[in-house]
Amino acid sequence: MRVIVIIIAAAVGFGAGYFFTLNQIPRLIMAGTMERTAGLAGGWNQFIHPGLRDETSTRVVRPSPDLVYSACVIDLSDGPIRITSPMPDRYWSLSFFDANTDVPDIAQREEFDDVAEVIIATRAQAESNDFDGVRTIISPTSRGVALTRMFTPDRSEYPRLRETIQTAATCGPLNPAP
Amino acid sequence: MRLSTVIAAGAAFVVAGVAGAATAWIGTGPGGWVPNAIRINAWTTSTVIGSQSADAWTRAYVSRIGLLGLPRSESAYYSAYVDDSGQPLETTASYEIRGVMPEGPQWWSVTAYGPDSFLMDVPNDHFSVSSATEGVDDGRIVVSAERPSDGAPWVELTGDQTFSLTLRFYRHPNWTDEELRNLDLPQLVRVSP
Repeated sequence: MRVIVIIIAAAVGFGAGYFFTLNQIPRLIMAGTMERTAGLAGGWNQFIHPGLRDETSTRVVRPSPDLVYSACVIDLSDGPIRITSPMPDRYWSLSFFDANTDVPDIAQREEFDDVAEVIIATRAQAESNDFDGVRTIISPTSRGVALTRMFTPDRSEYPRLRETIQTAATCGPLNPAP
Repeated sequence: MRLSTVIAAGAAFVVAGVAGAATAWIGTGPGGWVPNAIRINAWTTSTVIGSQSADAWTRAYVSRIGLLGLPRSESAYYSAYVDDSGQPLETTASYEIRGVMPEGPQWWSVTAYGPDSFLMDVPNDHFSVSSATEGVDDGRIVVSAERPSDGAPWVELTGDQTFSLTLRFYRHPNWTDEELRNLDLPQLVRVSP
């Protein structure tokens, strides 16, 4: 009897530890990434442009050296967020990652003409606002990361792309506090 | 039930819980098992990366080896930790990626990563080869520490360590799961030593 009780306790403990950890890994890694990125950007709801990826890029695993990234760590607690960006003459996308690492939606270069405008909102915010037909991404969580990718196979192009595309992009509250 | 049995069961619960947590962590690390995995020669992927249908294993695995990866609707990622013969990839060896890439994506690239899943400190910054690289239509990419003398597209390696490759296809023509399972991907062949 004693041995059986111990074996059952061990089996339950193993399963609990295994599945708890499995489910917490994405949330914890994403939470850490969001906090670090927001710190580097100088706050939430602000773009950071980390530059071309190389051996010193160790915040996110398996970065692509052929892409130029811009990240805005989103907090929807005080309302929807509006992102704008001039459109480059090459692959560009804006993907939104929720706090559980899922991707509910991606805005693509082909959806826009010269400038992209995208609103990120919770479902409740979207249902209670009229965004005048602006492209909207619904976030299942109140926090997440908006990430733009731009194909840059020629690294010498980066200074021009940074100036004309990245630094001209905006990320901030749809309705800024007065 | 005796107090000693309760204490022993509690201790077993805690120790096994820690072991379970460690198993989950190790199992979702580089080279870990991924449900819904697809394997084509040396290349592996999952059809559910980044999607809301991703299961707990895949989500945990991707958060560790490919955080902020895009779902299949936007891109397809295939990674290789071994060559076509099943041997681990080593930076002291030379490899060739033989064959043309599948048609359809807006662009593709192949990139080498060190054992920590970050870019390696290669002297010439040849981290990757993409569809925009001159010469890729010839269907031969060299993966080595030495620059190929014939000017072939080159993914640069460095040091004495294991490494992995990731093949990215962006904005593909909405490949289905079945198409992802049957892509005609290039060979990954060790040529020396």
